[in-house]
Amino acid sequence: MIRKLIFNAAFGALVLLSPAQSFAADPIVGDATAGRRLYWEGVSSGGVPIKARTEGDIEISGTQFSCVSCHRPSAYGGSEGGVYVPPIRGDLLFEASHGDRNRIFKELFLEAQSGEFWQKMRDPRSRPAYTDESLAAALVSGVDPAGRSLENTMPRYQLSDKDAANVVAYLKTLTADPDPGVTRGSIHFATIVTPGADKADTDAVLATINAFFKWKNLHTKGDLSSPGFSPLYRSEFLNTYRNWTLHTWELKGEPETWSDQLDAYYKAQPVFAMVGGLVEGPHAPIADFCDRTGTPCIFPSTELPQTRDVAYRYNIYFSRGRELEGQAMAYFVAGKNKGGAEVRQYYLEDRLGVASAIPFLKTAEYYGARVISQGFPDKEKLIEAVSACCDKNADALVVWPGAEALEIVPRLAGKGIQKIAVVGLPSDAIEPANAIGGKSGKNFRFAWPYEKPGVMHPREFDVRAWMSARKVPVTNPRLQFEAYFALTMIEHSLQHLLGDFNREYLIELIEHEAEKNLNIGTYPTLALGPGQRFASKGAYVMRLDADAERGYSPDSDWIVP
Amino acid sequence: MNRTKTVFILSAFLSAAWGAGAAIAQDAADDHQHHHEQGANGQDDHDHAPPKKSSAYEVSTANYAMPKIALTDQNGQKVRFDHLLTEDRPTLVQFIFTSCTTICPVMGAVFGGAQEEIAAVAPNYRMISISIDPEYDTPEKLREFALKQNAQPDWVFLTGSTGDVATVAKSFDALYQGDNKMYHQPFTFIRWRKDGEWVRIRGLLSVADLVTEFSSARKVEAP
Repeated sequence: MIRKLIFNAAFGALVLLSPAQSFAADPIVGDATAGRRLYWEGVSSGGVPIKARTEGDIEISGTQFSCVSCHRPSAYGGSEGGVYVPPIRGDLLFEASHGDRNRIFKELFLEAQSGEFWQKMRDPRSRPAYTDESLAAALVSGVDPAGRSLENTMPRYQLSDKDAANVVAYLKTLTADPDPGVTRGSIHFATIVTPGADKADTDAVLATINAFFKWKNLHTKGDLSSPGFSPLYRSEFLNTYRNWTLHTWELKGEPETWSDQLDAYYKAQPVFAMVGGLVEGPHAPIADFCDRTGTPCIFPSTELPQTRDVAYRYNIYFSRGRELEGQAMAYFVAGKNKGGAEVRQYYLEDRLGVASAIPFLKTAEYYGARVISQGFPDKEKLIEAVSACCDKNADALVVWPGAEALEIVPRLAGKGIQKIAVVGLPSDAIEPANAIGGKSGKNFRFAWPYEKPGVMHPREFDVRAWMSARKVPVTNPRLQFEAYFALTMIEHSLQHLLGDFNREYLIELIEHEAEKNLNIGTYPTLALGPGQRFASKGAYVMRLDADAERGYSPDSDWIVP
Repeated sequence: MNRTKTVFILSAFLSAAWGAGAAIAQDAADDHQHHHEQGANGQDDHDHAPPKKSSAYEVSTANYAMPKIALTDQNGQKVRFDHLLTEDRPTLVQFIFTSCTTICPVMGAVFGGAQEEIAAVAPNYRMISISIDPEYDTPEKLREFALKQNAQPDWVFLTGSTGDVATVAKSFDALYQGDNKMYHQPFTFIRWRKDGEWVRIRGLLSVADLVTEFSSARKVEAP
């Protein structure tokens, strides 16, 4: 038996040499850019989808999936449905693998997985280092340099020598060097403060973030100061600890200039990621900066996130904000009139107003409503138009008062308005409407992309207790809890990175973690998936309700437009 | 009445446990030979290589009561799930989500790749893919996914409210661990007759595996 084994292994090694020799005779220089494209899009250097076979006989095309679908943007791999996908970064492939216990630590101990999965994890998977040739050959034949078959799920690709060399060249560019913002002792983060944000809210958010950093660093100090006494596994990972350093990047002036200001901050001190932050105004300039520099921007508090072309990029948000409010309201008013609602939409032509009005129009028309829509540059003109509203045919009036809700909402009056079935408004109109009281506002409905009032999530108690112990007053629960959630996402994911300070990997771990982390209570559920960038995807529509504790209650189910 | 049998079909003619040394060496030599042939005659060997069975999957049978729930299909139309399953058609069900890595692309591809052979076995077949990430998987996202798999009209893709989808998954005993969709298991359910038992398969399948299990589902008796 043993002799047969040795024979087979030797035979395997011998056979492996032949393609290697053919490469050696005619060395092909791989193009990493073309390799990256193949990795991400599954297309060959000739621009056609590559072909492969998985699970023995499933013929697939690069349009169905490619390397990135399993090995992920980071190439650190992952696990899903009990299938373990190994890391394929150049630095790991081109060194011998001896089954690194620390590298599989998180899969073994920090993940809920099936028994078969654990069995596979404990297999040491030793193999010699790959060479360019054996790696290119493995992509085609599915055999590693130890002569072992790769998993059945790993597709066997029909690649030209050139395309295989391109993939190899790309994987080689993925090295073990830590991403910017990480030094031997520290990991740097930034948070954003924008002009125009409420001073008290800004202070409350910053107090929360600073308290978290202080608390985190105290723990790190404790662990590092007694390494020999470190309980259980921790001493194995002392080199992965970093002191968290916070930089508060205060932006000034118009949003058009923010991107340059961020560049200057970043040049002076690169950060590994941006965390939380209160953004008044468009997030787009910040999002552009994060995408441009590859800096993860984790859960900023903003109502104006970047909503286009965000999948698989660097900004992760709580929700689509004002855009979502517009869409949810559209679904609500269009759904109330099955035959096709007659809707009037008036909006202030500022950033907030437009952010809801345009998606509202598009979504309402999609659901069969007829919308007459008009924007006003001036709030007095808007109020005037609303007062004259509406003709008999209108089923709903929707008003987006932009940044002027406090001024405009109390002045929404007129006979027309009282008669109309529904007056749709954004979430920040709810408090000024509630303040008026009385009979007016009976037909007001508010888009509400948050949890219903009065619902308590267990984590909320936990966070409040944490804040109380650190003497951080809770003055704006939503914003402070959002900041806390963003920080726990970073904390958890860094713990899982275990010294692989890679930003794409950080994002993948957040995508994985968001759903199982206990909800802080500001949204009904927070969940992401691979490439997803909005953790909460729906909204309620609220109505004023004098009997409710906070004066309003839901008038709809959770709407996911 | 549940009866459970476990089928382990091992790769490349061998019947040893996963990871056994002899199996690996033999397996490797075998694979290398294919590769060698490819290099020698310049042909790709995908046309004449014997189909490899996937390493392991589990098969059992069970009865499931279908909930009276309306879901939404890839065209935005409401579909009563229980009505869909009272059609007397050989039916295959899987749970997926479109942003899922690793297992769902393979699960989608196996349904996609098996459509013709399934139709040859039972022209009146029905395939159902249900998203377990319904808030993200809008009908539009499902249409994109369907297009990637070259889905034919007999294959329907369903989404719905989170609660309704969870109810459907629960009725198939297919809820995932830890409230995290990333831990969902690759399940395929097959039922030949409308009142018949379900064949429950856990594990990734090859096209040949799926067609074999589908054909044998015909023999599963009504309870």
